[in-house]
Order: sequence, then structure tokens, then C-alpha cells
Amino acid sequence: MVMTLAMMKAEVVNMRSIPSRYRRTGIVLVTLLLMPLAGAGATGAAPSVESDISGLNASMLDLCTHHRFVFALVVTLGMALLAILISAVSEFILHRLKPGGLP
Amino acid sequence: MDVFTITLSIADTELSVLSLVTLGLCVGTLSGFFGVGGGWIVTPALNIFGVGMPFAIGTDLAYVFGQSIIATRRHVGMGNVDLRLGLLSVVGSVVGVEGGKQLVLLLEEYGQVDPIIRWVYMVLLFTLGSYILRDYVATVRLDRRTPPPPTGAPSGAEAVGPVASRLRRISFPPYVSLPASGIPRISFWVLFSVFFASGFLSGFMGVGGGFILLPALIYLVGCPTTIAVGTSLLSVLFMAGYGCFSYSLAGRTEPVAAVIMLLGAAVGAQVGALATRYVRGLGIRLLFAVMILLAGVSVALKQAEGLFGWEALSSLAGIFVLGAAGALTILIAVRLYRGIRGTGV
Repeated sequence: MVMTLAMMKAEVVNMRSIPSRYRRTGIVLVTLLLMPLAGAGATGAAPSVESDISGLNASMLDLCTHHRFVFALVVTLGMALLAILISAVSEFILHRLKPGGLP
Repeated sequence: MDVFTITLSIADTELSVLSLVTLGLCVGTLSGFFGVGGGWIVTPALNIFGVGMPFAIGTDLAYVFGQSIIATRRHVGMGNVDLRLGLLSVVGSVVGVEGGKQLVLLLEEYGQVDPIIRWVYMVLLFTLGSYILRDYVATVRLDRRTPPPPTGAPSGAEAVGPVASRLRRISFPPYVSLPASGIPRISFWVLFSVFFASGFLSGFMGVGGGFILLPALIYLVGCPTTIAVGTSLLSVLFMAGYGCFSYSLAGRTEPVAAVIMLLGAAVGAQVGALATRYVRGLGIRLLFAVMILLAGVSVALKQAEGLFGWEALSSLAGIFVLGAAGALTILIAVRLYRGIRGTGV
């Protein structure tokens, strides 16, 4: 997770050359998505994708068992946020590939 | 291979991350290329991999929700969405999805949910596959007999079909007008029935509902095709969004699997969408039909495993479903590569 955050930070520095609206959306969404993932991965084990997934799994199971309504909200909003992030990232990549924006 | 296996705690199943990523990648490519949601392949595939049907449906709806947000954003940008019709779809869709979910939970209570939904899937996939195959054969025959139209000939405006005209004449208030779709007046209940039916299928089978909704909007409501495509995506967004929330509320969603598939699909969707610029030909339609039929065969194999207790059939079903989607994805990628290199398509 530490590595991922470092890579993201480096990418944010690289993002200076792109329009501010993409930059702002990207930074906010990446932070929002990584925050719960970072918390979920804090299980004491060495940071890795595997521990992140297990941590996320454990948090989700806990939410699903004890706070079903919050679980439903988190899943729905989380998927929406992830989709918006993916959409913004692909728009950004297409913008970089083709200067002047999307066709 | 254990490194790539994750335990999905809510569904209490072990799954290979590679299978999930591959599934997402393949379905994403097919979605981007054919413009279909792909829910009809994700739910049976998850079930074949060992996820219980209600969890497979809930997880698929979460995945379809994410996919439809990405797709709808593109269409809203292109002005292909009738927002009023999209918002009207919420009522019928939500009632339909909830009805479908309640039926799934009822069947689960009686321990019959997996086999019954698999039967419905088999009927759906074999019917759809045969229809596309028949359409392909008819088009090929027509192409051989009919000379090509003269270049520059007018394509003609979209006419309202006879069924849509009849349905618009139904006098049952309240009425709504949809100027963006060119519909001066239509009974609200016609729209409600269309959205209820697709919502019910969505909630019962975990499909996006677009493959029912799109032709319904064109032939029953009389929407122009471009508007119907964008608006059906917006309706699928509402259906899948509510389905995701409702199934999660029932504790039947596996968000980790949905996230992994969505990440795979994000890459695949770009490849598929890009490939449409380079790939032409009816051959792809034929392969699409074959893939749907193979997906149907894989569901049949899984069903046979349940009936006869032969575990080997389940593995074979997994190979069928991933093999069919994977082969088509590779073919699209190869065609794209050849198109970009300019070596002919």
C-alpha cells in the first residue's frame, strides 16, 4: 500500500501538465478510494496486495454482519466512485494520447 | 496457484483472482465491442466458479452498476440520453428489481434458486444465440442476393413502428410527453410496464436488462435508436444501482469480486471500443452467437453436474465459459492489432 501511495504521489506530480478539472477530480477520487483500502490493509502484516484484499474482505464481512445498511451504502457508493474514477482515468489517458481532448 | 486464490468471506467461497480478472477483461472487451452489458455472462460464470446464485446475481449487479456509470457518462456527453424518460424509468425499474429479488430470496428459502435460475439462463442464452445465428444466416443470404445500394442514397428518417403507434394511442391516464424522443403523448403505464419487465429480469437474473430494454424502447415506445441506446444505459444504471443496494442490504453481494472484475473490465472496454474502429464484418456476429451458445452449454454442464453429481462437468463448464469469452477477446485484440498496423482487416 505504501508503494501504491508513493506511485500515486509521483503520478500526481506528473499530472501538472493536464487540465485542472481532471487533476482535481483524479486527486479527490484516488484519495477517497485509497483511504478505506489503506485502513483495511492495516492488519499488522507486511503491506501487500494479498493483505489489502484480506483486510478489505474482513472489513466488508464485519460491515455485512453487523451494519447491513452501512454495508449496502458503502458497496453502492464505492462502486459508483470506482466507476467515476475509472472513467476519469480513461478520459485522462485518452486526453494524453490525443492532445486536444476526446474525439 | 494459491497465491492467486482469495476467500470471498460473505459468499463463503474461494476464487482465483486470475479467473475474476480474466472474466472482467473478457466481458469488458465484449461490452466495449458489441455494446452489450455482459451481465448475462458474469452471473452464470460466477455460479460456475462456485458462487451461490443469489450472491452471483448481487455481485453481478454491483459490477453492472459500475460498468453502466462508465458507459452512461460517454453517452450523456454525446447528448444521446432522454433525461425525462430515464428518470421516469426509475419507478418501474425499482419495483421490477425488487420483485425479482424477492422471488430469488423465496426460491433460496426453498433451496431451489440455483437450478431454476440456471434453467431460465439456458432458455435465454440458447434462444438469444439461435436468434443471432439465424439473423446472421439471413443477412449473409440477403447480402449475396441484393446488389449494394447506390452511394449517396438517403437513409431515410426513423419511422414509428406499428406496435409503437398502437401503444401510443392507449388512453389510460396519466400521460407524459417526451420531446427529446419525439413522443408528444404516451400513457405512463406503457412506460411503467416496459421498465417493470426489464427491472424484473434484472433483479431475477442479474442481467443489466439492456438487451430487453433497448429493443423495447425502439419498437414498443418508438424512441429513435441513438436516444434509446443512451436512455437504456441510464435506466440500467438505475436498475443495477438499486439492485446493488437491495442485494447488499440482503447480504448477497461480494464487493471484492465486483471491484476486481470492474478493474479488469475497464481495460477490456477500452480495447473493445477501440477495436470497433478497425474491425468490420459479419464474422464477428457469428462468433458472438457461437459464444452465447457456448455460454449456454456451460450453464447446461453446470446444471448436469447438479443433476448427476459429476464434478468433472463443473470444471468443463468453467473451461467452456472462460474459453469462449477468452477466445473471442483474443480474436478482437488480434483484429485490432492488425487494424492498427494497417495489414488489413
